[in-house]
Amino acid sequence: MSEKSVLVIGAGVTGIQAALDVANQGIKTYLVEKTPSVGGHMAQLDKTFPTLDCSACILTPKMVDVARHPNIELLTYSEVKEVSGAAGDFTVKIETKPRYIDATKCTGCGHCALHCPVEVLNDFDENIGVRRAIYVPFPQAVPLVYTIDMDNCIECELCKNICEAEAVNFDQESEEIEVNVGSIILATGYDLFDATKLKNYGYGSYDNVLSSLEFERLLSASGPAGGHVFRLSDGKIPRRIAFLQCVGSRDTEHGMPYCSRVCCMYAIKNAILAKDHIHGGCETTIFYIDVRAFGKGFEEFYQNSQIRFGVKFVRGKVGEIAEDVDTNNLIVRVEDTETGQLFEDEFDMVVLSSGLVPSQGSAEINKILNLPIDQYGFFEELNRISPVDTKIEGVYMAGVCESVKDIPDGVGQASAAAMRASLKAI
Amino acid sequence: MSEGEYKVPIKEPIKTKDLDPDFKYEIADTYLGRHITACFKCGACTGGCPVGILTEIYKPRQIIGEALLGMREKVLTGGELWLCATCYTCEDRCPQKVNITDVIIALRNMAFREGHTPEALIEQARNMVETGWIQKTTASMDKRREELGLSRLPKMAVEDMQKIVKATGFIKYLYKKEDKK
Ligand SMILES: Cc1cc2nc3c(=O)[nH]c(=O)nc-3n(C[C@H](O)[C@H](O)[C@H](O)COP(=O)(O)OP(=O)(O)OC[C@H]3O[C@@H](n4cnc5c(N)ncnc54)[C@H](O)[C@@H]3O)c2cc1C
Ligand code: SF4
Ligand code: SF4
Ligand code: SF4
Ligand code: SF4
Repeated sequence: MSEKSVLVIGAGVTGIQAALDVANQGIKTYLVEKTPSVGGHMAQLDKTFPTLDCSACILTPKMVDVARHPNIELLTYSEVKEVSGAAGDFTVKIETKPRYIDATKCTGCGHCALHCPVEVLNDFDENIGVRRAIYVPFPQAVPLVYTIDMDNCIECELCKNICEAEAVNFDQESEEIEVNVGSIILATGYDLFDATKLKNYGYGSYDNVLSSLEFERLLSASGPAGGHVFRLSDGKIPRRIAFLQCVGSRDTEHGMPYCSRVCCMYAIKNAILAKDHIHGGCETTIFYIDVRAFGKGFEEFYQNSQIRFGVKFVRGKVGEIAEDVDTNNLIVRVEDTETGQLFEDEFDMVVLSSGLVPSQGSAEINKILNLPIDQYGFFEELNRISPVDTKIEGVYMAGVCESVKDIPDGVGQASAAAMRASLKAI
Repeated sequence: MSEGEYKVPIKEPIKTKDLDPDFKYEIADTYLGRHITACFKCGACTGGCPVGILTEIYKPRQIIGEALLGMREKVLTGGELWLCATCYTCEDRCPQKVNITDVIIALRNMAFREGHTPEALIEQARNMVETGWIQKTTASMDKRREELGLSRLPKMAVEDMQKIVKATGFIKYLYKKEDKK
């Protein structure tokens, strides 16, 4: 029998909440995150619907809490390699990849990154911003410890020479630890639907067709543009922005048949924020099939976006986008299904409201756990009245790895999973 | 187009008494039309349709929508059906796998059986059977070809064609009673 302890896999907002709730009951908690920082997708967002709360302002305190909590052992840049045993007594092998930085010495001052000559695309910024080979993914990263990306490092050792804390260590190797836990919570989240699959929208070939997460990074004050919205083709300020709904969702032919539940609201949010961020104003139009505004405060948000902010709505799924090769403007062809008019309209920028799909990370962990998954790849619940129990006893789940949902729903599920996991662990 | 041009066309009111609620099942029962009821009227088909750009009266979503509503008369006799170029772009766009082009072919089959095919198309079919070309060749065409140094048009297998239309019974749709042959 193990000492009272729980393992949480994935440190997005859901995993963070689950870990805090377990740890606050006096139970030892291991929180494993595969990227260098906790935070997940919520850390990439500028504001959250429908209240327009600053995402970082409500998330960062929780991120800091998991790092400081006496009962939480935070294992970032780490992955679960092996799980054996059964509920109440799992043995788990966890591998921590080398950052080539001594985490106990690094003060997070960032001098190294200022001197590193290698610049690469930052995937935290959805590859529209850059970072150095020695980096933190974003300024509020937790832990605030730099990481050397060995795939791109040229081993010039400038960083090593500049670092006053002498934290750079090229001999660091991966470490493996074995822990014993009573139960496991999965919070491995989602990936954004890959819109390059829809050839008619030109995502990936037209510079000014962006994914929603790219647009979130443009809006974010800590993002690559410091919160200024500009076009990727020429740096000009967009004055007319179109948002296209149900990209890869509600699409049995090219994507997922289900509704991703968050994209109507995040598009409305971003259409309002674009007006707020762009000095001199801009016009925003949302092309939708149905606006799904089912949650608390959602319908009011939808109405307000039109009445107070003047966001325009056209009911019609866009057939195709063409690019004007001289201006890089985008011509959107759509039928306004409320009037039956087929028309073409020109925009400076198009943002695709891509759906949420099961994450690569979920698939990876499931190679080890072999949990039943649904036809898309989301973990299956035990039954309809046990929505956080997986089909393996002692393994629970929360957040988007179970099904598509927004932040409040994910966090609520996290607390439920934390309680179920705690009961199993003690 | 600018915003001022988004106009609402005035349409004839649709009367429920004119609707045939079983029309959609009739279409769904044909193999080609089997997915019609999956349509959620998003308009992506119209957004991709090359014919829609050329003429305001043709919109695949509208045909599917009217068929689903049960507007039997309008759909089968309205003539729009025959404008489709069967390019299959709409099918590629449709998120609901409606197979729009196939549905339109199914509707054309229905319209044809009920005698609603535009006379111009019947004429083309007749030309096909009689000459092997959907358009009759004329003496001036032959002359023009000669001037351009083009070869003479090949002779088509007209006799075989005629045997086929007789064997299949298709011939009775091509010629009215008063025509001989
Ligand atoms: C453009 C956009 C805007 C949005 N705006 C809003 C909004 O305004 N309001 C709102 O409520 N919701 C919004 N959402 C939805 C919101 O992002 C999600 O509901 C929420 O982030 C889900 O959190 P999560 O923790 O379940 O998953 P994630 O945030 O995806 O976190 C999963 C974490 O697990 C880690 N992980 C994955 N696999 C493994 C593994 N095998 N081992 C270790 N770690 C792993 C990942 O690295 C990641 O850190 C938006 C979504 C998008 C795309
Ligand atoms: S050693 Fe690598 S990480 Fe350090 S400065 Fe040189 S390139 Fe950058
Ligand atoms: S939330 Fe809206 S945009 Fe997203 S899939 Fe559902 S209906 Fe489409
Ligand atoms: S694209 Fe498909 S679902 Fe959309 S209106 Fe056309 S037929 Fe209906
Ligand atoms: S198949 Fe017909 S309806 Fe469909 S896009 Fe082509 S022309 Fe339009």
